[in-house]
Order: sequence, then structure tokens, then C-alpha cells
Amino acid sequence: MSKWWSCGSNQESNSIFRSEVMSLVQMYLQPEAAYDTIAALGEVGCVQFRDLNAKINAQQRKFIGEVRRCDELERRIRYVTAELNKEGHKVLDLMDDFPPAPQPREIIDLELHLEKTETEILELAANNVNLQTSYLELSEMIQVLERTDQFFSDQESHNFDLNKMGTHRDPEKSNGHLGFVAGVISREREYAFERMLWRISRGNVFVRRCDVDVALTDPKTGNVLHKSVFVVFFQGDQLQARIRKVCTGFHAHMYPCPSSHSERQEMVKNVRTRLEDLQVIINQTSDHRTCVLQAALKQLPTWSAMVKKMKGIYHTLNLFNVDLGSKCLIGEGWVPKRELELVEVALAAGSASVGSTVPSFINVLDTKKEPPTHFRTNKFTRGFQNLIDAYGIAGYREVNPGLYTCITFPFLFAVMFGDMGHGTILFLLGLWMVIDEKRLSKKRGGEIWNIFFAGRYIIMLMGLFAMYTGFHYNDIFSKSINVFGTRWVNVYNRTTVLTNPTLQLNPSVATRGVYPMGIDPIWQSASNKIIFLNTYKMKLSIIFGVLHMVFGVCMSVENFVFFKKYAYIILQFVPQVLFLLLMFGYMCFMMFYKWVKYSPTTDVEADTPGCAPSVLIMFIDMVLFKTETALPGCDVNMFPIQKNLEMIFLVVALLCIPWILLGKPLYIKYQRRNRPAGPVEEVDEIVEKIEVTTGKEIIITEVAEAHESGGHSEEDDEPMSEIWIHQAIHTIEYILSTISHTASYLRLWALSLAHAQLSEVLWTMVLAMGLQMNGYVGAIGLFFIFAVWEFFTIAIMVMMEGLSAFLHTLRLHWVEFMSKFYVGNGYPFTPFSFKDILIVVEDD
Amino acid sequence: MFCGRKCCLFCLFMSAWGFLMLNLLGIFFYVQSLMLLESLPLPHHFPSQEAFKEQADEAYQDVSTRCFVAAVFYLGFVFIAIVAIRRDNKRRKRLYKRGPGHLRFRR
Repeated sequence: MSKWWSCGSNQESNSIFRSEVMSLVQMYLQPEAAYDTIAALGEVGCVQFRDLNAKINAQQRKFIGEVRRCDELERRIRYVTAELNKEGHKVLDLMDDFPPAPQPREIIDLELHLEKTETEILELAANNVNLQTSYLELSEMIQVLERTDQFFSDQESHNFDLNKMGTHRDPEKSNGHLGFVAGVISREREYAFERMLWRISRGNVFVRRCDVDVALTDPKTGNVLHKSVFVVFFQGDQLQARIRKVCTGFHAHMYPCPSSHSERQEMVKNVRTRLEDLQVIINQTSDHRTCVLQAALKQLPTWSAMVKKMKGIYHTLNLFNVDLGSKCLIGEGWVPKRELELVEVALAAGSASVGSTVPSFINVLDTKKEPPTHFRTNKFTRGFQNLIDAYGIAGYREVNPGLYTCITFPFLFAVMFGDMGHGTILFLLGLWMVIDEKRLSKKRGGEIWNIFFAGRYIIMLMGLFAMYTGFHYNDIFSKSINVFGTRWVNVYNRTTVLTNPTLQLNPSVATRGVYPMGIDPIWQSASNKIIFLNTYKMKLSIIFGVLHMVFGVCMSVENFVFFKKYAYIILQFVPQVLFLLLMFGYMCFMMFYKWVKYSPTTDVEADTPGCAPSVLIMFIDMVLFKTETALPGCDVNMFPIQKNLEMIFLVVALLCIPWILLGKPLYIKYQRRNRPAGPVEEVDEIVEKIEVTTGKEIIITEVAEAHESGGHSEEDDEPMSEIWIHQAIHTIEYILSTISHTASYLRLWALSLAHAQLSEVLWTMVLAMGLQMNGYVGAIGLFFIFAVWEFFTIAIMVMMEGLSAFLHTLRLHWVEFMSKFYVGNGYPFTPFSFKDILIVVEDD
Repeated sequence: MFCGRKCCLFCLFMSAWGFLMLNLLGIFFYVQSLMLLESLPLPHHFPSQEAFKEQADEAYQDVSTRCFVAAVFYLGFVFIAIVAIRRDNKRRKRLYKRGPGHLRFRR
């Protein structure tokens, strides 16, 4: 896709009517200057390098070591970025003002910096885990010591004084006295733990437990832990051993716990002191980590950009041939012809930066390879070009429909979306994005926002054109405005009006001229409004459709002339346009003639509106050789020689079909028969002798590549049978699609009708309800209902209907228009450009 | 702030649109535009032409007044949105003046 930083975007603008003229250049780089030269070319962004080492796998390329080094640096940058994200800092990639590509020796410093930072963060992370583990243990011990107070008070009647310490250590043999084990266990395991203890002791233990209320944190994962304090009272040494094994099995942590209250208080005090000391250490560690990350935070976007540039350079150098004998790198790439000077300047800059006395230079090669397609777009044309490229990239130097799409696209959209109110909203949205585009272009809004922003000029034009067509339809939020004064007058007297619910206005006596522009607002009150608008918009759709298609067919002449296939103008273009015009152009003529001929003020009875025939029925009769029965006083034909003329048109149109079918294959056959005897072997061979300072001669021989994708020379190799088949398919497709595409343009009427009726329903069912409320409450009700109407207008009429009209317009361009002339078998020009590498769309 | 910056801008747009359009509607009802006759709260049958004219005039006037009143409500919301946006701008300026050195990083 074209981007705003595209190759040559800073120079004088050029038409996007055709793609740029491309040159295949051969580069000879001195090894010591190669890095700087590629760096300069990356900044310019005008060279698409070909891979001269396609048969060598990635592991065997010359600069694979450097690429791997850059990979390692990128991994470290990603690690530090992830750590910063944990701290809550978002590392934002640079969007402009990129640093230059680093020198290879600068990367050594960067490597040391990143290694030091990564090592430091890793050590800090490990230390933090250890500290957090100790903190957790001490926290649990505090809980054990505090929670067991109530347990021991319950047992005061027992004689615990003889057993000073918990029997998990230094067991004392004292028969007849209870021992105990205290600790902490996960809450989800406590019931199983208790049940197991009960079983192994056959009911001879006493278990007490209590939830830990404070939140404890897992040192490794940072998750919140839910635990319980437990105390197990038992009797006997044998039981003690079993209980300790169960505790270990359930991952319960046992802690020493004195049985006397005073000793517990002393222990709590000591543990609290240790906890406070540990907290100080943890805070200091955290502060140090923050300092390290903060130091890296400022540098990280710059480092990331530098590493990406370096990696891009080495990846590009891997596409070069390395001539070890003469010590130079040989590469090939596509360059727009107008930028050759820019490329040479970059090569000179690359050599000068290392003080090389041997210049790097380029040769322009003649080749039959198909060049890539490059359009020099600007911020306005980029959106429209993206619409075309989404369908297919234009072939090299093929006519680009993107140029005309700048107007036809918003116009056809507006025919469907015509409404001054909705068009104004759309226009204001686009206008805001255009006026504020410098600020908004730095906004990171995600993929959907980027799509809208890239199409801001399309949106603005669509809104503007919709206001124009809305004025013609005289439609603003489904209401009409009487700008020029209606041209209809009431010709009935008072009594007639009062006694008749509906009255018909005869245009022969009730009109006073013609409404200057657009639809007369009187139609808002007419019961046959939809009938009238339907016929009007249907005819409009066919007329615009035929014009659009004829224009598309005419575009093929541009390609025939440019590629010097003049015979195809006679063999392809003329019969195609004749068929289209004789059939559907004639239909458009009938529409206009019907509008002009039949009038309510005429003196001839046959020219009154009642006698006006249906254009569609006349068209069908023309094809089926039928004749309708005229009404009394009417004439079957619109003009005297109509039947004869239609017969001639139909015959000529039918003759065009074999003309398209047979013309091109016969011409190719004739051409091949009259070629010189024996096919001429075309060898794409370049033999050049280059003398380098070493005095050696380099002979370069290039074998011609297969012409599988060569569009303009395709017919030279294709067997006749395939040419016949392709032409038959093409003929059938064209004839049938002319008919179906004409019907397809009726969607312009369908969507326009749907839009108008939806808008009217929204007014009648929502806003009118608010307007019809009575009393003082009515104002408040109107306030809220108007807000609802506003919301629905934006959500349904502008967004949903707008998207629908957009998609239908897109289809009318891709299928109905571009199928008439567009091949679209090219491939895009993707130059080696640092900005392409560095500016990546974020997916939020 | 109860509403974010984008929400304030959206409210400002909707309120300004409401204020403008309701004023226009009020004007059109005041001048008794025929295009809006069907939106009036009127019955379908009238005993006489004078009765229809009288009720229509009254309805036009009432709806016009209610439109203007609703427009005033929207004007109030326009001011609220503008004040909120200005306060947000001031807050951003204060944050900007401090510079990055004064920012506190969360732990």
C-alpha cells in the first residue's frame, strides 16, 4: 500500500493516471561502504531489492550472524518492555524523529547497555522473589502467633506449662499431655487436610482453624493467596510423626508457636521487627528496580528503532551477491526512473561517510521482467488508491482507475445517500479529521481508527457530495425546503377543497413553470410521491450506470494505445462500446426522449402523458420483436422510424458478438503466420565486462526468467487453442455482464429509496411523537425524544446506512466499472524503507 | 470529572446540533410551515374550516414555544460541555507545566 512517506513524496506531484516508470538497476558496492550505503538507501526508501540469493537458505547467507545479533538485541528490548509494562509504564514506539541507523561499532555499546540492564533486572527479579518469599513466611508466622491465642485460651484447663514449645521440634516425652502443631494451609485444601488427619488418627486429634483475613501475595506470580491458620492437638509421639507427614503432603507450612501467652507476645514482637526490616529492604529493592527501568524507559524507543534499522540493513545485504574475488557486493533492485539521481546521491553519501576512494555505482539494465507498480500518491489520493488496490494492484503502466475514483466514488455514494442533513454530519466528521490531521496523525487509536483516518478525505467528499444530491432530492432529514417557491398552485375553489379528502392536480393547468433545481417541494404532500421518485431515480440509476460503464470501456483504449496494440481498438473496443451503446445507450435515449416528447400541455392527443409508453416494455419488445397494442388515440411508437431503427440497432449489436469473439484470435493467428520463418528465440542475456581497480574482468550472464506473469507478452507464447478459449470466455462474460451490470446499477435507486424512507420513518415515529406532546411536560418530553432521535440519526442513518452505501459504491466500482478495462495483475512496489519498518499499526 | 473528554466533545456536538435544529424547527413552526403540518397534534376531522384554522394556529404556536424551550435546555448543556472541556484543558496544562520530572511512577 502507498503511504504518506512513499518514495518521492517530497518532490513535485505527478499524476496517478499511470504507475511510475521503473528501472532495474545493478549496484556495485564496496564492502566497507556497503553498510552506510544501504543505510542511506533505507532513509530514501526508493529501492526495492531483488533477492539474488534465492537458492541459498537463510542459514547460509553472509550476514546471518549480524541478523541473529539483532534478534538477540530485540529479544532483550522486548524483555525490558515487558518489565516496564508490569510497572505500569507503556513504552510507546517513536512515530517521527527517528534516530539514524547506528554504526556497527555503536551496537557494541548498545549491546553492553542492554546486557547490563537485562542482567540487572533479572537479578532484581530473583532477589525480589526471595525477599517476597521471606516476607510471606514471616507474615504467615504472625498470623499463626496471633490467631492461636483463642485456641490456647480454650485449652487453659489443660496443663500446657509442662510443654513449653510446640512439639514439631525437640519433642519431649510426657505421657498424658497434649502436643500440638500450628501452621498455615491453603484454604482450598483445609477440608481434605482435616479429613485426612481424622482418618490417620482414628479420631484422636483435635483440629482448630481460622481464616487469614489479610491478603497474602504469591512471590512468583503476584497472585493473591487465601489461606487458613490451623492448630492440631494430639497425644503421643507416633501420632506426631504422622501428623507432620500429612502437613508436608498438603504443603502446609508449620511454624514454631510457644504455648505460653507471654512467650508468644515476645515472638510476635521479634517477627514484627524482622518484617519491618524486610519491608524496608523490599522497598529499597523496588526503588532501585524503578530507577533501572526508568533509565531504560527513556532510551528504549530509540534503541528499538536503531536495532530495527540495523537488522533491516543486514537483511538487505543478504540479498546481495558477494564477489569474493573482486571484493564487492552486487545487488539488483527496482527504482522509479525519476529517483535514480536520488539513489546515486545516496550511494555517494554512503561511500563518502567511510572515506572510501573507490565509488559505489549503479548500472541501469534493460530487462523484460515485469516491474512492480508504484503510484506516487499524496494524502488526498492515498485513500482512493487504497480502495482500488484492495481489489487488485494495477499492472505495470496500466491505466489506474484510482484517478477517476476520486470523484466517481463520492458521487455514486451521494446518489444513494442523498440527504442534506446526513450529508452535513458526514462532511463535518471528515472536515474535523482533515483540519486536525496533524494532531490526529500522531494518535494511537487502533486499527479501526486508522482506517477511518486514512479515509478522511473520502469521508469529507462523500459528505459534501451527499449535501449536493440532498439538495437535488430536496431532502433534509426527510423534509423538503421551499427554496425557490413551489411552481404548483391550487386551482380548486373553496367548496371543492372542503368536500374532497384528496384532490388531483392537473399539471397542464396547475403548474406555473418549472422548479429551477431539484425536486419541487410539493411532492412532500403528494400521495404518489414514492411512485414519482421511483421512476425518477430508476432512470437516473440506469443513466449513471451506462455512463459509468461506457467510460470504463473507453478507458481500455488508453491501454491499447499505450501498449501499442492499436488493432485491438477495432477488434475489442469498437464492438464492445457499440454493443453497450446500441442496447443500453438507446434505452437512455428513450428515457430522455420520453421526458421531452410527452407533455400535458400538448395539442396532439398522442403526445399526452397518458399515451407515454413504458421504456422497459419498449426495450423488451425491441429484443423480442413484439408490438404492443396502442391505447385509443395513442401511437405505438415514440417516433416514426422507431421500429426500423430498433431493428438495425439490434442486428448490429448481435453482429458485435462474433466481432468480439473472432476478431482477436484471427488477428493473432494472422500475425503469427506472417512472422519471420521460425520463432525468434528471445534470450534475456546480459553480458557485461566490468573492470574494477583490481584489474580483473567480471563477466555477468543472466538467464532469462520464465515469463509466467508477463501480461503484455503473454499472447506471444500462448497456444492458439487457449487463445480461442480465453476469448470465448471473455466474450460471454462481457455480453452477459453488460446486461447484468446495467441491472446492478439499480441499487443506486434502491438504496436511495431505502434511505429516504428510513429517514421519514425516523421523523414520523420518533421526532413527531415529541412534537405532539401537549402542555409544559411536552417541552421536557421533546428534549428527551429529540436526543433519542439524534442518537438514532447518527447510529442508523449515518453509520449503518453510510456503511451500506459505501460498500455498494465499492462494488459498483470494483465489479461494474473496473471489469470493463482493468486487469489488475501487477504487484506492489515495496521499497526498502526504514519508515515502513518502524511505523507499525498498534492493535489495541 | 463525571465525563471523559471524548464524551464531553460528543455531548457538545449533540447539544449544539439540538440547539440549532430545535431553533430552526421553532422558527418554521412559528411561520406555520406547511411541511410540518402533519407533525402537529391535530385530529383528523374538523366541523368547519374556521375550526381547523383556529386549532392549527394554536397548535403551531404551542409546538413552536415548546421547541424554543427545549432549545434552551440544549443551550444549557452546551455551556456545561464547554465548561467541562475548558477545565480539562486547564488540568492538562497544569500537568504539562510540571514536566516529566514531577510525575510519580506507580509501583
